[in-house]
Amino acid sequence: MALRDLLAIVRDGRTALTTLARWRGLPALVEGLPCGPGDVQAVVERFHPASVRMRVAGILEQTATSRVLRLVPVSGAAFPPFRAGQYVHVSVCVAGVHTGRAYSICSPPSSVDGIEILVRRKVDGLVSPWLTDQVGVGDELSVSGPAGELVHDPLRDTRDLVLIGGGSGIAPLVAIVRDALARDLPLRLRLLYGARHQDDRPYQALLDGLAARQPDRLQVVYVLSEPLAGWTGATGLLDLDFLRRGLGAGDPAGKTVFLCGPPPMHRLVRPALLELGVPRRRIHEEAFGPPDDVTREPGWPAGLSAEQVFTVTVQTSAGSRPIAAPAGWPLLASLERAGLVVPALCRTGVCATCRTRLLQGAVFVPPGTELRASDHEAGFIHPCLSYPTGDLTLRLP
Amino acid sequence: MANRSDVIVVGAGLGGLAAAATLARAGRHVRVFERHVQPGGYATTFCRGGYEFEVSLHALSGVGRPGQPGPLQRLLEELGVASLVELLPIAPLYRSVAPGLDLRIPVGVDAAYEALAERFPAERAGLARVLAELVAIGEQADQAGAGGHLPSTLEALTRYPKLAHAALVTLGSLLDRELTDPLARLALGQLWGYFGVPPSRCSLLYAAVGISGYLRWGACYPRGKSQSLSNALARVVEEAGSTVTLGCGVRRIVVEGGRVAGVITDDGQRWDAPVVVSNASPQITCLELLGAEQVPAAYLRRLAVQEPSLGSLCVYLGLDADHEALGLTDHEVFVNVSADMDAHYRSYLRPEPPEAFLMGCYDATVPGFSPPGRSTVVLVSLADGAAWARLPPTEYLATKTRLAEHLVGEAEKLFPGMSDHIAVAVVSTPITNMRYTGHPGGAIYGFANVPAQNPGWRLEQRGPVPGLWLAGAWTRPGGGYQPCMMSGHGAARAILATRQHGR
Repeated sequence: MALRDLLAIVRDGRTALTTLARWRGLPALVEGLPCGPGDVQAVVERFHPASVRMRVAGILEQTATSRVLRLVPVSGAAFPPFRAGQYVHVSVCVAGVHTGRAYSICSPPSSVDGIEILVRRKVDGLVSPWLTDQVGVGDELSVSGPAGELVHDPLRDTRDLVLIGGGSGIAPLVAIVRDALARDLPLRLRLLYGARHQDDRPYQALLDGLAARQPDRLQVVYVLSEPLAGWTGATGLLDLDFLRRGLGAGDPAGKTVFLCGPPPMHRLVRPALLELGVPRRRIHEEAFGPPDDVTREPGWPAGLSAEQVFTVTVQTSAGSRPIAAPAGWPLLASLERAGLVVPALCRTGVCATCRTRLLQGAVFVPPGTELRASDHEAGFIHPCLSYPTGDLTLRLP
Repeated sequence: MANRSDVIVVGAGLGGLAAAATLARAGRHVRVFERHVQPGGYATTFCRGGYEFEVSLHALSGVGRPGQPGPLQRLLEELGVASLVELLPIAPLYRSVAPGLDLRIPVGVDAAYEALAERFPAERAGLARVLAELVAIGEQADQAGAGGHLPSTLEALTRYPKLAHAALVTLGSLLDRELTDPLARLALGQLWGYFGVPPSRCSLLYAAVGISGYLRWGACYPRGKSQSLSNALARVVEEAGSTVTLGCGVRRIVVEGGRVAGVITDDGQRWDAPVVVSNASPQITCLELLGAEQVPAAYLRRLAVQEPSLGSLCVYLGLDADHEALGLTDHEVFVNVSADMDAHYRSYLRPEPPEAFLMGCYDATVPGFSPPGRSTVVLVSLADGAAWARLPPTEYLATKTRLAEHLVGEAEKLFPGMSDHIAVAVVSTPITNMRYTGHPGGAIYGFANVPAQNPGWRLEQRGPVPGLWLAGAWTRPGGGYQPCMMSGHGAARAILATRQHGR
């Protein structure tokens, strides 16, 4: 047996030697591959950069409380590919606090030289007033690569789209509309735009222009809750009654809905859509940031006040330090106020970028937050959407 | 000295974690640095829309049965994670579909033979000889590797001639010699999808260990998905008093006086250790972490002449229907447009519709893998990262969508109605792989598992600079879950055996 194997080695060894000899002649070819070792970083930078340094190239005032920032990469290179409806995370330092927010891209992917984001000033907000009032043309910002799933995906979605949005939630829907029309995609688009009044509609002029040019492709319906004098369009809220007709012609079961607006809008629209027969799998929602009042979330511990302050002991490689953390604040916010930088992207409990080890104590996590089962067992949390319910110990890298 | 440890491990992929767990359990103080926020490298999961998707694992080989532990089970025990991970058996091993073929291959050498012989009665003798040869090679490899090391060339020639021979030739040479029906070759060679190169190019030794490993020891999948394995390894490292630092990469391996002295992490901090195990690709390790000037020219040349394996194109689908209602009752289905495996491979070399793909449904093996009433499917083909990287960025997403639509369309033919239930779809490409692992071409198996690169001429764990070791798919014994852990474990054992560090 062994002898036969040895003879086989002699017989086939020649082949192997030939193979080896061939390899000897290959170095130039392999080094010439665009995917050679040194080029990986360049490829990643081109397609999937972790962050892009961008300059504010223009500001388009929209309404009394919102403006559009036009951002272009400082390097002069094209912004990496993204899908209409995706967002970026904008990192900022405001009042000494290193933090950031997720902003949907409003421009279509075909404008490769830069992106637009819509910023709406939030009363008592930290980041949005800074972006609306302080940032000027020429300022530079660090922006993440694009992320997010609020996109039209032909693998999953039908071609009959209903886009429902309000507030800054209109941003990704504007991108979806612009992309579909720019690329001449075979989609029917109906945009239900909820706003308080006539002067509270960012991108209204652009949307009206697009709808006027291609009325067979795009319909825009404004629904105003507190219209100013002279309004003849729809009024009220995007409730079941309105949506019964508002979804437009065609079977609701064949429609794909993109929903992006303030939390009360989601609470109102989601059940109405289901009742009208839109399949759950074709209702795509996105809402950035923590809930306005976490104590109203289902499962919030009875009797726990949002103002109660706990001590969070944070272990880092530099040592251990206690910080104060109010029950009503996401842990990420408390960490950032204490000067601790945690990488974050969606800030909504979805992307897992801020994954952190909870060594001791308990947190409240609003329903719907995504966490790997094994991470849950191993004691990991997403501090962007975890609230302390007692004293805690966290471990940062 | 707070910044000093016995060993620093760069990267928490399976190779790095297995090395760290072995060393930590042997009493060494180890620091693992991982730039991602999640341990595991490719052995990880991600959540979208209420589904938790498996990134890379299809089937673990070498687990065995209670009372008859296979090589992987013994390795998991040695690493201290066997009790932390629940492994569920996959049955059948796979289903192979092509025009004129729809065959399920069960676990067990005899059962697999029966299934193949029944479908290909004219090939009975050849099938028996192929299976016998694969098993004989697998058994000899188990013997040779029982001590946790790979035999030297001399040892292989004198003690394990069958291995030495298998290392020189391809799986295709055996299939072509013994079988005449191309469909029989396909049915038996089908697992090449797990090896990354078709039988005509795949090392017989590597393929035989793989195929016979699955047939003899069965195939398994962890209840907590691959992330539970990675988390368990990280936990073992920490429970042994060592550290795993996530979200902190290494940007430099420091060399002083001609040997490794420590690393500098992304935050600029220096960490000292006389030994560094790199789980990054050897190309990155040499060119970026060490700097080419630190590495002997011959070693760099050797890296440059070796061919990386292909990357992958994966379509992760969350379905809002029960898997059984859709007929998704097989863990693994290989779908082929023809019996020509070389043509399948060639189709992976450009961003065009692949001619063969793998369709996995984990719910068939793991109850509760998906939330109730839902199921999770992944469609996978190999894909050449170099070709993808040549795409203009403006065409990247459209290409991704076009190929994903093609794969879903093909899957729909086999499972009508499936595509009406897609609630979540995520597509990854070789470029996605590059982003998360930094591997050239988004390679998923390290260097391609061709005879000239596996295992005989594959990189050894000992690195090009004293004190530096390598672990992972690029090194011996090769790509795949079990080989990666063996690689890290082997590196750790070699480190423990050296005089300076063995204490």
